Amino acid sequence: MLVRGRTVWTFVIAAFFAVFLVFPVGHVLAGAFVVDGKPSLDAFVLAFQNPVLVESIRNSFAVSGVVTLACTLLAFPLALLFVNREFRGKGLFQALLLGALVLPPFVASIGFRQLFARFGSVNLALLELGWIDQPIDFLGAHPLAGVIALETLHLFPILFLNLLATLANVDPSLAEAASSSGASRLRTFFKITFPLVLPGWFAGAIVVFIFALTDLGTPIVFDARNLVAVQIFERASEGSREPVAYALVVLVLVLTLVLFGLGRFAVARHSGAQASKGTIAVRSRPLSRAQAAWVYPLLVLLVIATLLPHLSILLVSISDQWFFTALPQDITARHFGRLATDPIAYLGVKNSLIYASLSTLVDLVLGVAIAWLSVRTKSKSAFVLDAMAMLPLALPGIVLAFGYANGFTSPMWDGLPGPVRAFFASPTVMLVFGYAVRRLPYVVRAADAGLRQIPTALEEAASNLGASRTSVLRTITVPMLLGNLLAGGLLAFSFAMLEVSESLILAPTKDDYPIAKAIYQLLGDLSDGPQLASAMGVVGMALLLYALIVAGRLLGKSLGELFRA
Amino acid sequence: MTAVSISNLTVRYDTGAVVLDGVSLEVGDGEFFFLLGPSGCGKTTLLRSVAGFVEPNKGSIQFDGRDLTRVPAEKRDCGMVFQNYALWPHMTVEQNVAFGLDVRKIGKDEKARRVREALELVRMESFADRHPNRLSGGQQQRVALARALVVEPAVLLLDEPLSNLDAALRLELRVEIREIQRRTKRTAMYVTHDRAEALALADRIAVLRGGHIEQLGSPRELYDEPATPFIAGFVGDINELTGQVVSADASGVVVSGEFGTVRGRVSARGARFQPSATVKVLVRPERMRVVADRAPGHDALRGRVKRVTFLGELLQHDVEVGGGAIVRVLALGGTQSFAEGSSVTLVLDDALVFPT
Repeated sequence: MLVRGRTVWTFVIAAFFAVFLVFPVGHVLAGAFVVDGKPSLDAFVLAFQNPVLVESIRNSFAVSGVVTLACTLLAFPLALLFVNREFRGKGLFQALLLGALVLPPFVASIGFRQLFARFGSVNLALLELGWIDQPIDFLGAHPLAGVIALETLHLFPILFLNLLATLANVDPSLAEAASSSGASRLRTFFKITFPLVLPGWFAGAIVVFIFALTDLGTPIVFDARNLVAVQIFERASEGSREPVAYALVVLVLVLTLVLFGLGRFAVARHSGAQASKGTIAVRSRPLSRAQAAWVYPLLVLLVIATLLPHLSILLVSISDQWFFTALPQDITARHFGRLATDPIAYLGVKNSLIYASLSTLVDLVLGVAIAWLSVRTKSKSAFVLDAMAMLPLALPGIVLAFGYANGFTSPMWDGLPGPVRAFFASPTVMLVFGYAVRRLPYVVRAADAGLRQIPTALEEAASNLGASRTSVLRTITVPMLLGNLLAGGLLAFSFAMLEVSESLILAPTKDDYPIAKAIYQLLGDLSDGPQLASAMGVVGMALLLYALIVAGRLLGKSLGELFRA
Repeated sequence: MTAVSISNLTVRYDTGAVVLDGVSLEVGDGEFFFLLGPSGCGKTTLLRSVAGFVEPNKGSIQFDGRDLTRVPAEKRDCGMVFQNYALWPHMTVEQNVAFGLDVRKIGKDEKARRVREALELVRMESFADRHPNRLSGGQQQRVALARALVVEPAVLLLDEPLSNLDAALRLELRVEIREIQRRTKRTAMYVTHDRAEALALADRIAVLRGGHIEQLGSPRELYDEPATPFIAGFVGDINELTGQVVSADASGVVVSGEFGTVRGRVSARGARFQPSATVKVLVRPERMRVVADRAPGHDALRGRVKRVTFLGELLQHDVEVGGGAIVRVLALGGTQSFAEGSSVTLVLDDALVFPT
């Protein structure tokens, strides 16, 4: 009975991965490496002969590189400050700076457009002040600059959290040993602290780099077309089956896998820098008066920059009319009300709720099963399934979405009965399972961590009293896991609600639009589309904020650990 | 070489809690000085103040008359050995040891020689190329010691260096540390809560309690002439009996209680004992002998053997005396034991009387 249950679950999980992970990725690989039925690298040659694609690849690398660098320059000094110094309002500043995480850059870019457009708030304010005669075309002239700015503002908190965690884990006596050896502060930093933090930085930087490289939402709003992600999006939307598109997707996939692997390797190799048991955590000193004089203004400035997009979409969402003035003339709550009546907005929210709920359910069931198999049975097959479940962390949405869009509609399915084909090719199925695959790692991790804390003896005690495996799971294990499952599920749900890449690619008709695609559609609507889109963004922001806070509380760990490579 | 002078050192936390309350002490040149005390007594804070990691609110720290109170840690020339070793995980053993020499811009040849010598001193020369995470705890602690010694520091500071090691290794390493300290003749300050370590190694010991020095002296002085019952109990096992003063003169104090009547030495200098005052009589378990029952005098108590425990090298009798108090007596393991339940007499070789 016990063995059969295990086998059944192992089979179900394996089948899920085979259909919704291995198949689409395999389809992409086959499409890139097999041309006209023969193995070939022609697709890659063609891709590198296409000047637009070459420029896009170059642009994508440049954008990701600059974003990673900018995030590092912001996050490193900030993390050092927060770890080493004690000052008033530290907690508040930290919370405000992390606020950027709750606003997907895709939504943030709506607010940014309002601020920096030709007749946006900044230009109008500058004109009014008489500092300029002509509005400056910030976005038109440098669309990539807008992308870089928004991605940096969104991503630097991830690096900041990573560095905070890493710095806090470095045993303070390592630095003390250096200063007692006679090393100056600077020398201690560069010879001891920096090398020890490097792996942690690397792990965070890779997450940032991959995110920037595969982000679709931000460039699409800024109309920056010559980026890899957008090129893939356009080809996927056209249903293009040309090998060049596949090659491009494979390029992104290989790159992210390699980078992700490197990040893992770096962290694994240098785990020795952790603080040993019983050491006092970090000994931070108070900020001196002179330091406070320049630290506070810089922090305030940074917080303003970080929260500017939030403020602007909030303003847009409550503005009645906002043309040719720096600030909206009238405010209204009308747009929030219209979320329930406007067909696109209403359907978007409704669809997303359905997709996200179903995908979270899939994640919870599979997540508990995978975690249970790997923690309690420790079998080889469970290990493989666990590794599979983690793989999507390194799988960009555009890659998976491209694989779904082309794979599930490919002619190779023609032999199957019509209803089966229709099932797999339906946007609902693709979106639900697409979301599920990519958020599964969060749920597995949460369940895994919880399960490790439940002593086996508690389950054994129930079996010993005659409870079946299933009833042990139902009455003992799952109730004790509830907090972790709620946290993991909440994260999976809210990330699915605001997911961008898959949502933009996999929902072709209005009836299937999830929130992200609805927002994208509304942005093109000249009347009050942006206001409605912003209202949806505000709702999403509130949801994500709530989810992150609750999840952090429930998991009892720092948010940084949720955003590691 | 260097003498350390600490005067009126006070350290307070931001919360107002006083960690060190006006501590003053002198450590002689080349002396092996111990800070001993229970956890939270301030011993580590005192050591970290000397190292420069804690800034005192009041008082001063001097090396050979030079005031270092406001001098940053890196300018103090202290070699510190940390409880958790604090070896840099990204450097090899050799690089760890060489770090202080690099800071001091020592030439290549001399650096190589001194690193080798330091590693030889701690018998780690064959591990020079290893990374710390591939060493055992004892090996790591040896490297940490070499790293602290190689710069020939003015003062060597050791913060519970053996507390993370198992018992056998602790014994082995503590002998080595003593040898190395004698050979290098470095002034050293050593923090521990392990009285055996302190008694075995120290030239002098300061016992700290609640942020002040309770007693300062040689291991023998602390053991034989404890200033307070706390010290007596902290540096060794002790039996405690409560009774009333019968008479007191220059030769001692006679105390009587339910246990009987005994004569003890006057403990604290200058303490006066009025007749019928309540006092404590402290006797170390090995300063008593169990003998066959006989008439009691002022050096003896009668009792009944409650339990006999054979400890190998020692033999322990737990004897119930009048009033129900249990007195523990230790003899060498080869000694003949008395049967449990038999009536015996305890002969006191030394007893100390403290006011309550």
